[in-house]
Amino acid sequence: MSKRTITILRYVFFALIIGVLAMNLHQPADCNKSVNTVTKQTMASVNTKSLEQQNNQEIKRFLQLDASMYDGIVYYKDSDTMKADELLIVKFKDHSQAEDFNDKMQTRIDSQKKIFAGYAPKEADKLDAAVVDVRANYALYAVSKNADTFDQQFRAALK
Amino acid sequence: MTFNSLNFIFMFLPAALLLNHYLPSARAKNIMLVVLSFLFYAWGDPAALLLLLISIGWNYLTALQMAAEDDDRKKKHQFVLGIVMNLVILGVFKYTNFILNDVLFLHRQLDIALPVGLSFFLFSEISYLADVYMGKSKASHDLVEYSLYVSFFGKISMGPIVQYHDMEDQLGERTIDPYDAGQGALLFTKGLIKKSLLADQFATLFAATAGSTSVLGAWLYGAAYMLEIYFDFSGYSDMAIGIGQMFGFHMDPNFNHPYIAKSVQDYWRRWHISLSRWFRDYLYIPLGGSRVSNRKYIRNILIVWFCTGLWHGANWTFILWGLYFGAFTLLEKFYLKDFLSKHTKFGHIYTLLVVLVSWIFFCSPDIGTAFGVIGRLVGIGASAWADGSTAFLLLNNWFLLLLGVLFSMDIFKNLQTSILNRYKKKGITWMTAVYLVGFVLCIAFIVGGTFHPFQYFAF
Amino acid sequence: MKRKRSDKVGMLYSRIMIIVLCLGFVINALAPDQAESTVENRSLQQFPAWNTEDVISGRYGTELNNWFSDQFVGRNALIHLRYLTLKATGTRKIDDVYLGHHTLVEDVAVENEKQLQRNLKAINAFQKKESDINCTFVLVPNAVYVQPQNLPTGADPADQSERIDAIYDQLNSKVKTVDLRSSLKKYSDDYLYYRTDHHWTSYGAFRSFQTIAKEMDLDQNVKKSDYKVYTVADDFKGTLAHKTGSLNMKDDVEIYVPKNDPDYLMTDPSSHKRSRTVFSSEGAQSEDAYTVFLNGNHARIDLEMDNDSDRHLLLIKDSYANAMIPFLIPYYRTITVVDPRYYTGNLSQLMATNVYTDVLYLYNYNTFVQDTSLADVLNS
Repeated sequence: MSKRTITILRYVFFALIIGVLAMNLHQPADCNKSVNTVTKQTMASVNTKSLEQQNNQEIKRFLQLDASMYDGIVYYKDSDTMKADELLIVKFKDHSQAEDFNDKMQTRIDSQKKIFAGYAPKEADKLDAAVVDVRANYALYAVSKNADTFDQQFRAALK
Repeated sequence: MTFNSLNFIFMFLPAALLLNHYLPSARAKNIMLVVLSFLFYAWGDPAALLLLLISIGWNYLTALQMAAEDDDRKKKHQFVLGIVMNLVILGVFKYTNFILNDVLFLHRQLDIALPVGLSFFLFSEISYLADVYMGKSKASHDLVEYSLYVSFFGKISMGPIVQYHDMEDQLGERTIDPYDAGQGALLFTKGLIKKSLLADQFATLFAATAGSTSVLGAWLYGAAYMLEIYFDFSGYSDMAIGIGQMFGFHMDPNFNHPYIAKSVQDYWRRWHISLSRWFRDYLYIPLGGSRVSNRKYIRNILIVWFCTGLWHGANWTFILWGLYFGAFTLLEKFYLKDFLSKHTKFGHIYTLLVVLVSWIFFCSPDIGTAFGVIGRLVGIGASAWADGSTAFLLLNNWFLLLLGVLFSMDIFKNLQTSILNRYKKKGITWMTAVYLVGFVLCIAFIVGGTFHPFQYFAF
Repeated sequence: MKRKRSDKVGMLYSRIMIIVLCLGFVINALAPDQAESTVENRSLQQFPAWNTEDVISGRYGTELNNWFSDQFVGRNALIHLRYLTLKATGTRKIDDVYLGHHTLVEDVAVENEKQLQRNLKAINAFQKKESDINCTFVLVPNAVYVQPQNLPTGADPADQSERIDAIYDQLNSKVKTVDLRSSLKKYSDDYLYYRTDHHWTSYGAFRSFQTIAKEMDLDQNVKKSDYKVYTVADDFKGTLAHKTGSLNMKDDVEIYVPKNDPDYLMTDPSSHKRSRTVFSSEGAQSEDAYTVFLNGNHARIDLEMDNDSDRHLLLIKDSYANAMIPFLIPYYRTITVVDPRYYTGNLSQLMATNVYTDVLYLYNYNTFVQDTSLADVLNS
């Protein structure tokens, strides 16, 4: 390679490094959409017939979350009590709520796993693959064989 | 992908060995190894592969530019920029949150994933640039060979950090002596045994003693971690060097029975040897090493140990851990050297205690917890001298602890030699059987146990 | 050139190993996928279908890892080998299971302090709300307390007895607590608990029922001759065997059928399944023979008996109580069985029907101190 080619390529790679670093430092921005819009987009084109929406009391009972603390919260749970499927989307009032959210979701996953492990292995598997995804002011918690699809659609909905 | 997994042992490794054996030319073998290494690296974390490729390109081009540059000043600028970019990459991925939260106290947590082996392969690439700049090595004109140096799957995740000039001649064509490969297979198995039969069980013991508040509990906690990390990391290094041997690479040992050291200085000639050599050759000696005034010497030692600690992790506990060893290095150089060389028994015990305390700093989440444990070692803040559950743990693990202590010492090679000398031809069969049984047990423990990742994987 | 013997070891070993590795590769690639592991009682990862997104995120690699590891030929034998090796080198406890004398014993569970307090408060509050109903609370001690002679030497488990006292003390005086400790300890050398499972045997439930029946005013004199005993499984290997990979230990599962058993109907309101018996032959023949009782866990089960009793029971329980239900059946007209872990209904709605004369909490210590569902159900 000629000296010139090397120099040019080196500039290119310098730019690539800056690019990769910037991409990794970039944090997701807040989304202004309503929680219902985001939820609809998240659940689109997936068979969610067996999921029933839960009210605030039920949110408190099952997830230990106080609905009034958040800007918006939607929670679906499978109508069959022997199934572990559930979906939760939360819009934070404040970014600092993310850490507590993560803790509560981990607690939920752990206690659900205890309940289903050994009795219903397929449900326990769903919990092993549970998705907890915090993106700026929105967060998703999904236990389902479609959890990854929900996550992809959730991220797309936030754009 | 990791060495102690079934898919590596039974899928990846035999495939790589067979391909390496049957491919006709050295070039074909190299291309295959590079492709397989990229696959190995990207297996769990494909996004990280992009970073690896970009860093390879950057350093490869930088060296070529330096080689084609006649102006010494321009060459120096290219070299400095080359090094700086590597350090910036390392800094951003590894230290951003540490700097934001623990240095600037800004309370912002950014979501940045640390790519596997970043600290290891970037250090390899820095060694390349430095070797070329200092004239120790020639800039590589073969991208495949350079990629192989950086990303060879045998060493990319956790080292050893092989300096470029030490591997330069092995990158082209390698002849594999079957006896050498045989030793490689034995070494790989030894490492696997250290990891799955010893280190992983110590990890369980360590977790079980974490809640203890008695003096005995603190000692068992410290001992469990001390043995866990030794067998974990030296086991990995054995596997790495063994794999290298099976493909015709020769890497220097990374561990030499560190727990029989007679002084802290001796210890660091035996623990993670490739890292201390790297810091010696690329930081300590360029700073002047010991051939300077006492004041500058102390400064050099503290800088090197600060960096060594920081390299291990983005936390003040690690920095403290490094400076702790720096302090003992100075203590020994100025005051204890003669005393220790005359009283080796004292030296052994003193070193073990210093190292035990260092590991407590290393494994604690913060400095307060570390001091709590250290206090309990001598009874400060302990609830009792011993408690029933710790005693039971001791009873439950006596065999493991015995093996741990014995194999920290340099006995295996002597044991093997005496068996071979005593039983001669039959001895060969016996020793082979020992390794085979060991291998099968490793697989049984890998299959049956919960998965424990390698400790240094977080670097 | 004269080769050192250690070199020859390497040669011999590497020759054998390359064959072993290649064989391992071929055998595992060719063997058909298993769906479940009977030893571990969980489903096994199947060969993952290609999915570009999964490949890029790295999930595909993890799934391939799990597939290879889960489908590894000889997996069960290897798990047993690990168990034997640990046992042979003096290990007396694997994870939280003691390797006792011809039996496996689960260690005392670590209490979830916060949840425990919530649950006890809720029990007290519920009793106050439904003050006209007899309220009984039974905490069954586990084998680790009742049969310490089975533990390996040197075992130092936490004291369940002390903890049970502390828990009973926190319940208000109208909540009748039943102490099974002394009555079970009397039969401590008998087959009270399974060797390979954390549950009690039907005999253990029988001995406990003798005490419970007295305390709840059901029957002052329960005898073994009141029942016909059948063995429904003789090679049951339960949860503890799965956890440790143990060999050579198995259990018999018996059922006690009351000789004066009334006709009854069992209904599961959510699945609408009905049955004339609480014993499930499907359960008895399955991998987990303990599911002979009620065919496993349900959110709610309704039992309606054809007898003259005027008592109606609400039974709030964990899986230990499953083996107890057959003993309770003759004494009540109806029994509503609720498992708070799965129950999502409204308990106050249920109580509004005003039909219950008794409420019984039946839990084993290890499950109760880690339970996170009871308080929310009681408060609903």
